[in-house]
Amino acid sequence: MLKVAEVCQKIAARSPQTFHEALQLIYFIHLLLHIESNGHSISLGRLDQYLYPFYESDAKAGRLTREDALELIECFYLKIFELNKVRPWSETRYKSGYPLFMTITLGGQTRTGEDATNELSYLFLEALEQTKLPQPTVILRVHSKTPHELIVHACEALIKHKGGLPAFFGDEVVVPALMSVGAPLEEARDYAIVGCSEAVVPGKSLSFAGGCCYFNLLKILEITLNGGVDPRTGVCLHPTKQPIEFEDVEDILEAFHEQLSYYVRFIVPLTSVTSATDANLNPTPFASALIDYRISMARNISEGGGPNAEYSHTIIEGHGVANVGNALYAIDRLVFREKKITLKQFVDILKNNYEGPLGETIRREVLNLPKFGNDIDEVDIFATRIAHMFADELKKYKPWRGKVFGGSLQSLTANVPEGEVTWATPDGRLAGEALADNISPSAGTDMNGPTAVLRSVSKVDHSRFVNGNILNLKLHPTAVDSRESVSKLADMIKTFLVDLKGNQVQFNIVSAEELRRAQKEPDKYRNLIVKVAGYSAYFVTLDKKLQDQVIARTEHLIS
Amino acid sequence: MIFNIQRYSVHDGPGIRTLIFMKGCPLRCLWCCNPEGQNPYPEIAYYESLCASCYKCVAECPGKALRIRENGFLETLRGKCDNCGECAEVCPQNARRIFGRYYAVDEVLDIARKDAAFYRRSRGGITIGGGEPLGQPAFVKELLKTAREVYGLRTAIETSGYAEPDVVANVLEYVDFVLYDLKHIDPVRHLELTGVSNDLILKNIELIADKMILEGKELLVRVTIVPTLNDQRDNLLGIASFVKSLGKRIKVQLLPYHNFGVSKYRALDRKYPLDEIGVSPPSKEYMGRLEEILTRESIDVVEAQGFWKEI
Repeated sequence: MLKVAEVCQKIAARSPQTFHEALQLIYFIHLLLHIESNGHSISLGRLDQYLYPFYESDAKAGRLTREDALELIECFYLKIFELNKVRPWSETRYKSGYPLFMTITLGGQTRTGEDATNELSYLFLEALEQTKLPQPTVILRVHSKTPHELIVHACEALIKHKGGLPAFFGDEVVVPALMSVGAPLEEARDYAIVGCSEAVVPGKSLSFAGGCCYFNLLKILEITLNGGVDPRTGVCLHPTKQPIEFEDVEDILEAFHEQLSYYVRFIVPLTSVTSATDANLNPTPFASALIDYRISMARNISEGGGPNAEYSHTIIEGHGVANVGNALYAIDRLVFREKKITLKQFVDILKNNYEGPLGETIRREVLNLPKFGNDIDEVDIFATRIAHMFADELKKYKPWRGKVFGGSLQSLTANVPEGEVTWATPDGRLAGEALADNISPSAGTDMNGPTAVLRSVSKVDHSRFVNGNILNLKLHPTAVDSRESVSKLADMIKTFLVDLKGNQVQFNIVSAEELRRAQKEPDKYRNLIVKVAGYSAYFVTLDKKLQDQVIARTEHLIS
Repeated sequence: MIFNIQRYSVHDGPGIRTLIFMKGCPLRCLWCCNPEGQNPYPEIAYYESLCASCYKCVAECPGKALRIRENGFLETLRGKCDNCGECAEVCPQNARRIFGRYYAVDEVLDIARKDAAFYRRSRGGITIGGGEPLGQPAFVKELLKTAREVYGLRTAIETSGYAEPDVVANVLEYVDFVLYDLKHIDPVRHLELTGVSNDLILKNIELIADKMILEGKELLVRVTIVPTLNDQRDNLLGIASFVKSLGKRIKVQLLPYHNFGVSKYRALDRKYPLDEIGVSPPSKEYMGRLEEILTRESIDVVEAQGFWKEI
């Protein structure tokens, strides 16, 4: 306590001199930002970079051991984790798990393009293993020169953390994405992640809520297939072709595009209202003072404008890309190519939620069709086109705060409530079921293993989405059961982010608890492959007793 | 004839690999974990736990080979079933599956090549296993040759080594890494456990070892440890002295036996041979002790990995 008091005393009046002091000061600033605005997504930037000079000089002077530093970081994580806020239920449903999205960015490159890894990159990962907390969100930037050991270290942290952290981001995509909206190369290389996946230039960018908009792409398809009517409400805002008028899938895509354009237009007035209201009612002078130019402008950050507007990208999220892609493929196959049913019949089947003998038959056929996430070009092309269409549509408009609407294929947990208001869809999804999360395949439909998912997802040009795309990948624990297999996981991550130009990937090493769920709902877990040398099988095909064995082993392996 | 192609395989050779399972094997190891890989023809499997009793398959079956049991699930009358696969086609639950179909070389490589970027980063490639890859030498040779010479992929095979020496030599020309299964050093015991003697297997490994060392390729001898059947000290010492006689560069890896094949035996309406004997998987500690025996004989042991029993 005396030590803490001493550190606090020192940084009250002068700049920090030691690692401990610097960390304490960062925490105070972070706390003040939360007190001012009630948070969220207030992120901590590249802590391994900012703090390294302090760590290095302490270490040289013999003031600080590696273990001491690790303990301080762990305490820091605990303090960060303490912060939270109460949200209304309606919002909570969209952000389940009460996260504050306080992100710490590690690794990556320096402003001159050298590898930025240092001892603290490793220590911040180790602290994650030790504390196992859901917040702060720790992410690792990966580029072509990122050392293999660092990625392996991150994978080990991931396995021990058990909660999906750290996530991995690729500089190959993020740096060009930032440059495409005006950041100079050196600043783009210095990016940090805010919230879930939004890349910003620290001290300059705003990738800011208060204008955030969720966009249910599957709903747009539903409206398109009903001539412009939302079947849930019966409201028609913009009529387009009726089902009987569509001649091929391109025809549907065209109408989809028209509906998409029509609804995207609403984003402008909606976000203008929320952004302006936020600027009026919630000025944040302290936060504004930390952003370049705002003091000289004497203007609040959320008012936008000024030189910072160059870095402002109001986030708009698109949800359900995998569902729309799968749905279009299913229509193309069953209606136009195989002519098994007419589109009108299909739409009627959807209205009946696939009930009745014909509905059930069609649903089974649909479920057995190829799906996004299996590296099959014929399906992936639809999802990819939808994603690009969405990103390009956003480019047409300018947000209230200036610069651009930055697209993002991330969904938080909005895919659940949005599914509730979306009727049955041609991808075999029943009314009310959740949408696929983020840019991930629909649950349980990726049958060809993780590399196939990564390849499918990499067909999307991620650099068009400055606010980032999120991919959740499930791995059976047997896929990470030795040092060797963990090293291969690291290779897989680097291949995805560097060679295939992926944006982001995060992993769920399936827990024993989840495997128990898979026993009960095999349909949703058809894709889990048990990885044992020379052996071939999916988890759901094992007998209960054998599944229990795998579960017991899982508990042991990742405890 | 192939019964599975598994991408992102991480336990069968260096790096990230695509594992190609050839159907058909001359051995019948009592502990075989891929029974669907034994017969060289397509086979229908039925997973009761996934079946929704919709009986679409019953209606579809041209040979009337499906009978509905009293409990509502199905019995495949194997005598009548000719494994045509119609039932698997219509099964909405994937409870009926067909194991095995013919592929063209390019069809396999089109799949394998999709992961070329992953192979490059991890120094991985393709592994042909099974079943027994040497059971279909013409296809496998063509596959390996094309993979290597046309597409520049690294190649491996996972083999029991049970084939004529000229077949082995012929296929081996296009292989960078051999995962060689050795079940038992004693010919009589080997016959009891696998249905064949190990004469040919030991002879071939000598042939491979010479060639591999000469050409700078790698050979890894793998022994699946099946408690009470082949885990005796004498067997391990025998294997150690045999491996030493082959030359220094050959490493040995012990793999723990597991019983995950059991479900597939049931799905194929076959008896699991170890049911009567009641073997249980070895623990990690036990595997460590066995490795120790080899290490003391100055064998270069590759760390065991796999699914051991937790205590």
